[in-house]
Amino acid sequence: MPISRFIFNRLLQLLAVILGTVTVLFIVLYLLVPGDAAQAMLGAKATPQALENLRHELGLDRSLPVQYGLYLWRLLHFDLGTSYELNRSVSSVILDYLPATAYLAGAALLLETLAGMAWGFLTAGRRSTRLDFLTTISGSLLLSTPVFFLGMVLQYIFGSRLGILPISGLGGYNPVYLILPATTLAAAQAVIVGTMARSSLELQMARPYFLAARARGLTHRQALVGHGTRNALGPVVTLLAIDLGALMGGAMITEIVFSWPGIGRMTYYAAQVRDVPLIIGSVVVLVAIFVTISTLVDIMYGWLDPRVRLGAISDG
Amino acid sequence: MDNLGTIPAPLPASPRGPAFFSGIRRQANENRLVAVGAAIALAIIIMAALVPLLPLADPLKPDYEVGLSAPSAAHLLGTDLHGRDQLSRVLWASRTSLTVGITASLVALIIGLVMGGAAGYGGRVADAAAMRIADAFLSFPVILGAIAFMAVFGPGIRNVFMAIAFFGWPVFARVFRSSVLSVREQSYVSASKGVGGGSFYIFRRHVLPNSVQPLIAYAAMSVAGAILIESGLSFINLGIQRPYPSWGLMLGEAMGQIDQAPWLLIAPGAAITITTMAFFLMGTGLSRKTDPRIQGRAHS
Amino acid sequence: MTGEALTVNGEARTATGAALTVKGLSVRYRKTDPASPPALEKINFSLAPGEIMGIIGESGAGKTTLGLSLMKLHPPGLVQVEGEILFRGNNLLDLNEPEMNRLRGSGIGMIFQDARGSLDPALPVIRQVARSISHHRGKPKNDAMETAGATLSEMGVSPEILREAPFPHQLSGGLCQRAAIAAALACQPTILIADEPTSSLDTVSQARIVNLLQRERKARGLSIILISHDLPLVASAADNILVLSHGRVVEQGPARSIIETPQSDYTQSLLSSWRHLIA
Repeated sequence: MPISRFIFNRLLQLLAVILGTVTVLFIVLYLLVPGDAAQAMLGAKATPQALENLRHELGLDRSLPVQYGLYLWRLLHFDLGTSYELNRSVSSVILDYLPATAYLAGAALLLETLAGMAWGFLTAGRRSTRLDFLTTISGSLLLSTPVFFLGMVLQYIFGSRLGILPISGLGGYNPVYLILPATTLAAAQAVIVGTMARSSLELQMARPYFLAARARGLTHRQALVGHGTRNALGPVVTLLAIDLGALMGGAMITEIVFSWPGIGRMTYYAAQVRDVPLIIGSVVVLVAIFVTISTLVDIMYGWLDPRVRLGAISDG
Repeated sequence: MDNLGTIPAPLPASPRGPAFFSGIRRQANENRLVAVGAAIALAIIIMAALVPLLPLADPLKPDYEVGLSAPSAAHLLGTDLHGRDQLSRVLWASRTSLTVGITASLVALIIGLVMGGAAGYGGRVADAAAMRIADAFLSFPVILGAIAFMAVFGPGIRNVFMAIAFFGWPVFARVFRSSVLSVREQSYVSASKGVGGGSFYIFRRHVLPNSVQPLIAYAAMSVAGAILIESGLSFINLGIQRPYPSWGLMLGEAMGQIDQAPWLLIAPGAAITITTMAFFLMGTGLSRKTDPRIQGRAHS
Repeated sequence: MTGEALTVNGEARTATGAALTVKGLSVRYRKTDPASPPALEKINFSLAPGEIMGIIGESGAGKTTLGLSLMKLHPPGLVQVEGEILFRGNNLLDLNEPEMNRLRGSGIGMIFQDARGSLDPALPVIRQVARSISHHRGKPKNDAMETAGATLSEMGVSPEILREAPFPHQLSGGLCQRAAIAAALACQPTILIADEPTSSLDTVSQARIVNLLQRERKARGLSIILISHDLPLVASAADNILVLSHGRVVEQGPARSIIETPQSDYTQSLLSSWRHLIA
């Protein structure tokens, strides 16, 4: 199918996912929550008058479709509600803390990509069962280690004991402060990327064009780098895009451990005081960001693959 | 799987397949993974079950005289800020984490079976609807969803169950649905029908055996993921509440005292890692046995 | 032309100046299992310059394995190879990998059954041919691209076609195979191994590709090893035929004699199944 149709499809999917998420949250907040939505949002500060006002504002006194409509309408205007605990609009709070999280997540993404690709190159094509076994065991170990445990262990070793790396705070965007948190966040993900990179490269090594390239005199490495890598990137890139969502979640815990002033830590504090609008708001924003980036990456990758970009013709 | 709380996907094996080394050895390796994982998991479960019978200190009673003491003869793993014996707490916490992990996974499994079965057996509309919903849940970062869930509904063990089951069922639905669909498309099903086998017969004879192994594989992975989610939630105080012991909670409490009491980290952290890994290995080994292999051998 | 007389020290200069001589080539796949049958056993043949040798046999007989073994492209580490492959004064089995790499492409080239699959899907075809040229003939990029374009044209893939359809998936099977041939011949090898080059093509394209190969044989003095299960094709195109069964040479000789007066039962059964179809 032509590229425009492909992009259109992807954008449609994006819209569907965001709509889906938003609707699920609507259901949770307006229908499933004990009490009513106004109660949940005001929490401890709920005076009867305030409750009345909010109920009217949210349209709780009107029919459900109207409530849904109002809810979507506000979202379209990027009105995520007000945090009554902090007395500020949710969007402004989120905008304050989002950059730090983006910084951390970006660094972690970079780290895990590099580490993963390196791992993929080193292990692709090695056919030993022993290596496979060791890889699985060590990979599983890293994946089974909770992020907070890894973070605290690193803090202890490099901070308390060796005292060579800072263990908390943003440090005014000084990269040294980024090292431990980004490594913690990237560690487990690197295993996944590495495994996928290896798989993907080996898949390319099994393709006929690889053998044909060898038959033309390229060494294994030359064929892998010159031809295999480009074709192997696809699944890896897709994985990274999906991974972004996991990164958002893990960032929260990492931010708490390392006192990183990002959205994750903000949401944690919000959860402590049951600041519902803020929590819901940050979840919506994070999901929207993640899904949008995923879609953009998907579209970009589709555009890069000439078969998708130009459309395949039938055999002649 | 990422350990940030999504229900995990298994680490794929190298796709080169048995063409390049003996297929038997590879099978043995997978069996070894399953065996090791299952053995450790079983050992932990048995130990957790026996905990009430062991002569342990009271995990809940504070004793400020001995707060933050290093491992010693009296307290093999030391004590925490409140003077509670770590060894005892770690062992008691195993019951919590395992209960939550296994039960929540079972609930997710059941919901998944129902939805997956409906999708597989129902018409195209039911299938499409069920799968759209499943996809919506699957694309949602689980840990975020769980946190939002807990924030709205309040912390506590019961809500942790629900949060995990709430986000965990789509995987099972997908797996079961694909089993159902693939069996239905096989020719031997028509043959069965031809000889008079009814739907239930087909289900029992073909669908069930076919789907058992992948379902168990994913169940194991789901338990692994659930344990990580529960400890994550408890770590940030949205899961198991004080003073009840949970590994995540213990690590959360240890966070402020790493310098003075590093020993508080090791036991609960290692416990989570080992338990999760046991189930993960089980799941990985089992799922590899059902994966198709890519044959690389040239034919002449 | 099956004459071969090796000098005592193994030099590959024969009385007839063969391009390639294979002596006692045996290939086993499983080192750990001595009881398993060899993939190839004691293959002997000789290939003269400009000769087309057809290799026929049923599926699984070892044809592709033979082709790959001549290039030493079998999966490493699991193969035990004996015998000699004499090419340009060297026994290929004695050469190490870097030396072998230099020969692949520029000494012996290969084209495959899945022509489209044998090309990198993400690169324009002309770039792939140009890369081969740069790699072997050391030309700078622009020169290589020009030469690539010229070679492709010679093989019937004109610049107009490439402008419209630069990528493999946009070209028909026949055009892909022409491009693959261009890529192989651009390195100017002495021998071309064609492993089922026409099996995925329609009959018209098949004939065209065979014509192309014969033309190039004449133009360049190229020797061609034509592996195929398509008997009529080999019968019409090859000078000599080698019949392979279960990894052994069952019969070999001039194409005419093999087809008209086959000596072995196996060859006879191969031929009769074919004749049966057209009778």
